[in-house]
Amino acid sequence: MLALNNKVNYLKKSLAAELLKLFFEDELHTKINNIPIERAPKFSQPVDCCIFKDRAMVRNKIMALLGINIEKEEDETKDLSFFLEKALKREKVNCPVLTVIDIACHSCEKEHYYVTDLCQGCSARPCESNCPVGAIKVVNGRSVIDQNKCVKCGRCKEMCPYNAIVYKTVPCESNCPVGAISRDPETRKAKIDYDKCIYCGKCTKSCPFGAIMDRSQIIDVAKNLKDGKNMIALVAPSIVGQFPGTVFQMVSALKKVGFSKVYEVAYGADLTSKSEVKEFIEKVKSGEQSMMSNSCCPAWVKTAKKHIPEFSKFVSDTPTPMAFIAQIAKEEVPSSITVFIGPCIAKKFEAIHNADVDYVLTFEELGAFFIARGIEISELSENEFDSPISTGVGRGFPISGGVVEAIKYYVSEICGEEASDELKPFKIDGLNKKNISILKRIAKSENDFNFVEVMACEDGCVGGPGVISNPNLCGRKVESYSKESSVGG
Amino acid sequence: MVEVKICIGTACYVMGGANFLLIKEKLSDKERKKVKLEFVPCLGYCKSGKGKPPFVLINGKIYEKIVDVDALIEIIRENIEK
Repeated sequence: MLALNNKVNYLKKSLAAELLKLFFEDELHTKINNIPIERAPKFSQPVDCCIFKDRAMVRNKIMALLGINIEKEEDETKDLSFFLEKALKREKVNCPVLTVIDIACHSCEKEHYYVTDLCQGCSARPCESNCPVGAIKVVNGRSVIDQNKCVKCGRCKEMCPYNAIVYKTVPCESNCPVGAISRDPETRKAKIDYDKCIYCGKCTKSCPFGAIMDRSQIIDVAKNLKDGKNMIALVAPSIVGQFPGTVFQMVSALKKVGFSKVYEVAYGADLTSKSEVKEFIEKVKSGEQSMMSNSCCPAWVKTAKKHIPEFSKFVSDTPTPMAFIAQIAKEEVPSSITVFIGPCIAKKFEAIHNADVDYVLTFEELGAFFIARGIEISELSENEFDSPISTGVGRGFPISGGVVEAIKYYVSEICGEEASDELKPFKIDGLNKKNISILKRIAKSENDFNFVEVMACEDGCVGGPGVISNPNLCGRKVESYSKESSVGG
Repeated sequence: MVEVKICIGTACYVMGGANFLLIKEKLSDKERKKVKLEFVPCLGYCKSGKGKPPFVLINGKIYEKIVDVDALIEIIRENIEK
């Protein structure tokens, strides 16, 4: 995947901040149509082939930020203000959570080995003589690969003494762990197969053209904030370390944005862990089934359902931390609008199917709200969460291995310390093609472990597609915040 | 001595400055001795419209739109060599 900070990402964040700033200043309607031109004015140095393409890119990215399903919009004559109206009118957000910006898609060629002009046309010709299928010939003093014959074994690349042969990948396809991205046979533009997609968001973070985006809900949240609705923020534990200042200053910042209450999803993680431990005792300790896996990661739950059905029966039925905390929020303030704020795109899918969660923002999107409102987090006073205090293990949920720690803690809490030996954990840190085949194997074999923690994102939620901060840096802050808890774990 | 003041105002932090916290680990011991590193509250450049965040002030000169920590290290190295 791409580095966390790059120009595609920068453009998206800065556009989100600009849209929100104009919206809160009541100027978005009059100015939205000008933004593409202002971002790529005449005689400026184009990023793409020309300023007109740049303007089209900006226009389409704004559409995704308005939550428009770009593939479904056929009428290109419509202004951005039309889409803004459309976004402001909608009562609810819907699926799909992702959208492909066809104009940005580079129509990458199929993955293949390619001989670059570093090829010296040498006499030894190790590429030609080591190719098992005779796909390489020397034409005009340079090796050429017959793509129809090539079996992609990579021998030629290994053998070339000049490193002249490269493997050209298709970033979105090669980063998709489940093969959900294909190409339209005519236009060669990327297409997402939603029967396969697990909403992990890896494609959004790997396309160097930013051609796949999640459909943002910033406008929906901004509209409700501006209308003075009673909004409750549900913040995921990986928020620790995403912003400057302390966690408790961040609570104040959210209240300044307009949220009436701020709940900590880490407390939901405590409830999830307790419930999973009860399930573990009922199902695994009793011998009814051989193992169990976590249900907190929606991309993992979807992966099991769609791609490893034989594993599905081992995945816990316990509601996710988000579901638990949202239920509490809605029970306490039934008229409230709940907004989950986290690192995750799959949560957008989960929330659409959970009546207790109205909207989902990523940390990047929340950052755009802070910028738009000019909030200096580190200058604010500290404020407590409005939810009960979470334990250390609840706070540690978003790091790889965090779920196992929480389950271990609650097993000894519920069944006594000696029982914790009965939990034999195994961890999968990040869903990729290799780890999915390991999970397929695990589902069918006898294993010496009985609890499998799966995190779709490498490093855990701190490595999610919507984060701002470096996962290791954030992980360290999560750990120290977790140690500060006054209620154990 | 190269004086580096890194803005950790909200805008700079969100637009990429969060990763500047990694800088101490990324500089060599030798380089670290030549750099006076300071994380400072919002320098106010974003609000004045003079360029784009993240901003870093190096020996009194302001650098804008430093997209990632590696780019910042390059600028610091250039200043060490000066």
